[in-house]
Amino acid sequence: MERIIIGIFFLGFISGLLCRFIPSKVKYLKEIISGLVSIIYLAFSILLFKNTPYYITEIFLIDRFSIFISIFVSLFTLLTLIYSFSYFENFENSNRYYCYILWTLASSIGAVFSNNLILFSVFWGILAITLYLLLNISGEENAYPAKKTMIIVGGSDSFLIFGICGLIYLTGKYTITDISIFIASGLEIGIFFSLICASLAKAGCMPLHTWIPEISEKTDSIIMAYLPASLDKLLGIYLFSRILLNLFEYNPDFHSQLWFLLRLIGSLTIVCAVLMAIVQHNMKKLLSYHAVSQVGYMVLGISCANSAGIVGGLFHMLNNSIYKSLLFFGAGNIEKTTNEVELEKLGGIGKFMPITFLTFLIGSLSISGVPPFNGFFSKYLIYQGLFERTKSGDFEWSIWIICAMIGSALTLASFLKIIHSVFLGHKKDYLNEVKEVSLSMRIPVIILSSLCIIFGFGFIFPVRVFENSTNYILDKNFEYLIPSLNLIFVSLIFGFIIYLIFIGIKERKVGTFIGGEVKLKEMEMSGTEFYKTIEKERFFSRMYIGAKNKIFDLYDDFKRILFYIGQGIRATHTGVLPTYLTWILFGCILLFVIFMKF
Amino acid sequence: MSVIYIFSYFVLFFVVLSIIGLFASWIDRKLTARIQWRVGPPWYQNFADIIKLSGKEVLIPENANKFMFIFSPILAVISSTICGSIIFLVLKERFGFGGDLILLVYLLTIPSLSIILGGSSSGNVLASVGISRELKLLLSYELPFICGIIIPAIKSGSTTSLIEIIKHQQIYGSNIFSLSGIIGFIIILISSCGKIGVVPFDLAEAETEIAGGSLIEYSGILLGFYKLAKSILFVVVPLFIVILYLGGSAINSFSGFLIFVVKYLIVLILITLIRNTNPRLRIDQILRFFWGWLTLIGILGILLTLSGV
Repeated sequence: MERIIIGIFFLGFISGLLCRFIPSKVKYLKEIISGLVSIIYLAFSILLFKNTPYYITEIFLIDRFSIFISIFVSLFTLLTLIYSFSYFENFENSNRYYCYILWTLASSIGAVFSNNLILFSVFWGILAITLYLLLNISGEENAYPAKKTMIIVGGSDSFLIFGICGLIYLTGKYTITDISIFIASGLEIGIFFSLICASLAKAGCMPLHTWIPEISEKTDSIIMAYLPASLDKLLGIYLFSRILLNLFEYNPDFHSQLWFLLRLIGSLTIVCAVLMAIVQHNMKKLLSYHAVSQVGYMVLGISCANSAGIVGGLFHMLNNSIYKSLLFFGAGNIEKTTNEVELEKLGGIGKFMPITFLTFLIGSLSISGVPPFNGFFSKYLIYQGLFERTKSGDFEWSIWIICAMIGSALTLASFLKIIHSVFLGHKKDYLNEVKEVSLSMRIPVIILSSLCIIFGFGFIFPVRVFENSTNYILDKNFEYLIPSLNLIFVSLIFGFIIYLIFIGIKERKVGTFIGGEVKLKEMEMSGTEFYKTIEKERFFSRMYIGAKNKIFDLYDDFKRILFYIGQGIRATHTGVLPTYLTWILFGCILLFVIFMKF
Repeated sequence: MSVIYIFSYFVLFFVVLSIIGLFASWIDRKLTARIQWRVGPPWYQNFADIIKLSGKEVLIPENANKFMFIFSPILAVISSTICGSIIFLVLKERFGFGGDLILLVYLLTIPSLSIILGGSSSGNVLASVGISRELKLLLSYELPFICGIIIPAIKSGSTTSLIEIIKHQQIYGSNIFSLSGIIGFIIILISSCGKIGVVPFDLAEAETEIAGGSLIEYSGILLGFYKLAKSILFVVVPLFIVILYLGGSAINSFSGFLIFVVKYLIVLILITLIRNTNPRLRIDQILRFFWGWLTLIGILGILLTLSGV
């Protein structure tokens, strides 16, 4: 068994290397190799799921949870590869692209399956490097955001290593499943936070989120869909849940403040990120803020510390990666056909791209938590967890519920803004030639949107998997949702029947009526103007100005502090040689004096 | 439950809710007329309106997204019918589960969502203004509305099941008979005026300003569907408030049924009174009102609930 797993890892790395050295001119070979490898990974994960529920050694940790994650990691890779078949057609850097994708796949599966802490940190480190390399593929414009990402994600990796060293120092053990620490002193809290820091930076939770919006503008949608939107969420929250559920023990007296802090981070992430999202003009940037905001739900859910919350948080992690990659693929479709991502310049293309439109709509409704799509059910479980906690009589829980629910309403509002300004609304004249994208770009969005529906109506299956793998069993109450779901299902069929009847009726086409006047260009209202009133409100306007000046960006704050400290030193760097020599002389004298004393 | 059984149930609910809803709208119209010193329409006026609309021609704008344009009104009707069905099942069959409160809160946003999608797909300039207002209205009222549902949920022992809330009130008395209950009731009453979209929060349609806003391009039966959906909301939203705050008694016995109808009518009349005594607000006023004072009072209400007042 061990040999098979090691063989699988090497397959990914070696075939990646092979793709790297196939010249760009050779067509279809890289695509076939990478596609085959990802299919092998997928088949392997599914076979493991069916046949080997548990296989835990000192090196490997294969349980229901990790296998389930690995299935989706492989699935997302496969879909990304299918998508890139048309998206990266005639792309000069395609050999680098396929190589890094395969390395990412192999090291993600490695990280998920490893039980040894050091092995885990190695795979985790490789993931940071492949992320950096993949971001650099999109061109030189992406160099600064990629550097920022490397500093944030790589910097948090060093915290991970520090945390792992601490764990080994405290327990003397190297395996994840053997460790269970009871937090009692400052050192343990330090270890706890350094590990949490690594997981949250990967998932993109506030305040370590700034790399995701930064890279979103220049990076190709496909890479956004693959890494920050799906894989990084799966892995980051996977680590987060392992830290909270496996590595540390729950201590109600001491632990509660830590969990409170996590919940605070979660709810702040939900509300602040979504408030940033609704005022964006760039479609990809808007989506990237939502990628941040949704992490808040997972953190909030898992840090609820009851069955409904934990299972809901993990289910939300899965759902989020499904609809978020769907949405980024949709954005990629639009970018590919129109070469435009600015919302003001788009409009009315839903008619010409019906499949992209419908799948994007499904994704938007899922992320906003509209029943019966999958996003609703995970949020539903999280709310159940939160409501259950209000029994304690603490005021905080009501605030978390309000934050989570208003976050979901704001999400709906910002997605309706995209739908209005891109797919519906006023058609721009230059968009008359737009056509639906090719088949290979349609297949992934169709599969992902069907997953949104399947995990909506059939939410029991993933919930059961998360229940069994975490040993947090829900009470049977939530199964009573099913009759209501049947009702929704039947009513939707009823609605479609009525719709079909209407399609048959003869209707008359007319021009739009604007008080009898001719429509002018100035009259058109894009979705970007919807929330100007909110932006102008006193409280929000200050917040948005602050965000524009990057006050809430830890990376920039840190940079500012560094530059401030460095100001004095910089003044001495005049570029005049004699000045430097004088400084060196002073330095030598100083050293001399110091050493004389000893 | 087989599909055909649910299907017939759904159709039955649709018919029942439409009839009650059209009557409720009549009560609203008649009362408005009496307040304004007019005679008001006869009882069958709303039925006649719908029948007349269904006979009219359906116009579709050239630039419209046809699928969305036709499907949105249908979605509005079926979503409000689902809300109504769930509430009726809770009241009559005592069928409920933990979490139906959350499901209902989410389902109640779909009628607004369908108005927005429909208006957006028509490609009209005034419709864009309308949906912009509707979206901000949705955001605004949602915050106090959430406060308004948290209060009874905590009062009834931190449950998210409507049945549990009803049972708790039958034993310990209605939620409204306490300071926090009164606060919660006022908040949810005002925010549900926004949910139904009546004056002072009807700025998304605002006939005198933007000629119907999101509904400007709709005609014939499609417009009729939107009107029907709004009528059904006139049943669903007050019933929801009755369940949460006014004891929401069972309707199995005749006397129970009568008391229940009276409670429903009280809430309906209160909404009508609010609508007739206030002018239409601007969107920035609404935003400040809902996110400012009303939410603050709502949070105060939650604090009072937690301290048992």
